[in-house]
Amino acid sequence: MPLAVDIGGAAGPPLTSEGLGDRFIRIAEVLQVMRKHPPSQGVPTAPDAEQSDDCMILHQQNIQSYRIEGEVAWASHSEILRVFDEWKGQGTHNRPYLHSEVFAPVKVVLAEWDDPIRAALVWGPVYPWQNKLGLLRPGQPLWRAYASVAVLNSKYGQAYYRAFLKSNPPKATKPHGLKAAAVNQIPIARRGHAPAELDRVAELAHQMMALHEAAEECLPRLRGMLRRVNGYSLSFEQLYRDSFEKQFQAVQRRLDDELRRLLGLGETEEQELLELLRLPKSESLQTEMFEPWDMLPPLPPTPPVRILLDEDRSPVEVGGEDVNGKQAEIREALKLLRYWEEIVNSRPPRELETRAVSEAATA
Amino acid sequence: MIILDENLDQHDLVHLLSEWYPGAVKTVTHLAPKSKGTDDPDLLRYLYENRDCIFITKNAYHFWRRVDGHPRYCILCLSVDANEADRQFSLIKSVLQQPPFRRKQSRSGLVIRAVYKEAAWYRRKSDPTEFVIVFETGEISQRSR
Repeated sequence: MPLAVDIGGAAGPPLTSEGLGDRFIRIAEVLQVMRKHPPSQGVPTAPDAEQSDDCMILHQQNIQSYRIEGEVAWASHSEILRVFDEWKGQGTHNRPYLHSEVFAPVKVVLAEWDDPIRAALVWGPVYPWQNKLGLLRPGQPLWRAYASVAVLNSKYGQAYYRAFLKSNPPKATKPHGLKAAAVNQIPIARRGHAPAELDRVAELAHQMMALHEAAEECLPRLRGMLRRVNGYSLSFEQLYRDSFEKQFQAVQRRLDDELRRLLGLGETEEQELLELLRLPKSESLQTEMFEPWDMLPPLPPTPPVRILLDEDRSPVEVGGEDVNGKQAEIREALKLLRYWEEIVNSRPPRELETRAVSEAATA
Repeated sequence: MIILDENLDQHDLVHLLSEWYPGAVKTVTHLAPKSKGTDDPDLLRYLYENRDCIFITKNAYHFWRRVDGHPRYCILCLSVDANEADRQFSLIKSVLQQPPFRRKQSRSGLVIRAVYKEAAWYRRKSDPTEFVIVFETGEISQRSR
């Protein structure tokens, strides 16, 4: 078993409000959400990484729910730090994201625009440009990071955020953007949840992320390919775009059901939260004989995601000219879809060990 | 693209990988016929020229903690004794299905060493620590070199 040490990029001290009677695990307990600055002047960027300290610059439009989207640029992190050093000489208090933060093995990036909140879990080196970064706190399991991303991107996360803003409005209208104080209070699970409940949310969040990656990898490969059905030629890309869309919706529905259970929202509380942005009664201490989650029915097992269309699980009839060449191209594209289907249905890592050095040494 | 070192240039492994991996699978001798494999000083140049490739070798001794990662490629060292293609294939598959390694953009720049149950990785050989993922549990930890 490897010696666990303080993980690079794991942030701040362990934080828990359990002892204070908090009945929920909240974002602040799992992630340290921070907002640091981009350099005052431009740094050279390139469309691809060229040096080992290059990091991906993430602008607001790049950060979407569960995924990074669009064209991204890469810049040298040492160059960013150099610009800050010069800037510091001029008396600024702005601070850059540090190497341990940018190169942390896993992190959550949050877009600054808060309507809707958009969060994605990323593994590679990234520098959020005027956006927020969430680092796993020591001791927090990776699955809670998956669950955090699921809650933040869900209708429940949005509603909790607005409800907290409503109950405790910011004192100043500026700065605009995502309010860390409200984000920190969003619950990701009720304390005492069954381990299987968190597992399922994390697995579904992982499926969502992998599905987005699969769509991004596969759809461009299907461009221009045709399938002949009853004498008509149909676009493969469109057929699979529709198929992915159905899968996204199906996973999101299951995720919403599982999140409702993990958050312990009864029917009335859910309705009040979503429609009136009223914080659920369970936010305060227990007031009823039964908790809302005691009344929730058991959920059926999660079925596997099926990316490949049924008709493509057997040999395909191809439309258009150059039939032989197209068939080879389509076979390759279907192989890619099959490859990603296996990944989407695989289990994500469960734990990210983030114990501190001293703790690990005495364990 | 997967590029296999000469010490993995076995018909069965190439066949298994080609059946599964949705990209080109080549051997270093195929890519550069005059290459002497691991002993070739130009090897890293071949990798540099094939952006986002993953080079797989059994020779961890030559690579692990001896070369820096580079964002144009990924190096995967298999620390396994067995020569069976099946076991090597399942190890490669286990690695490439893990979230940190499954996309080119997140695995490029890494040097990875995989044994049967886990994979460790770093970016720069001077990094004082490395990360480890255990396949069965998915636990990720950081350990000193």
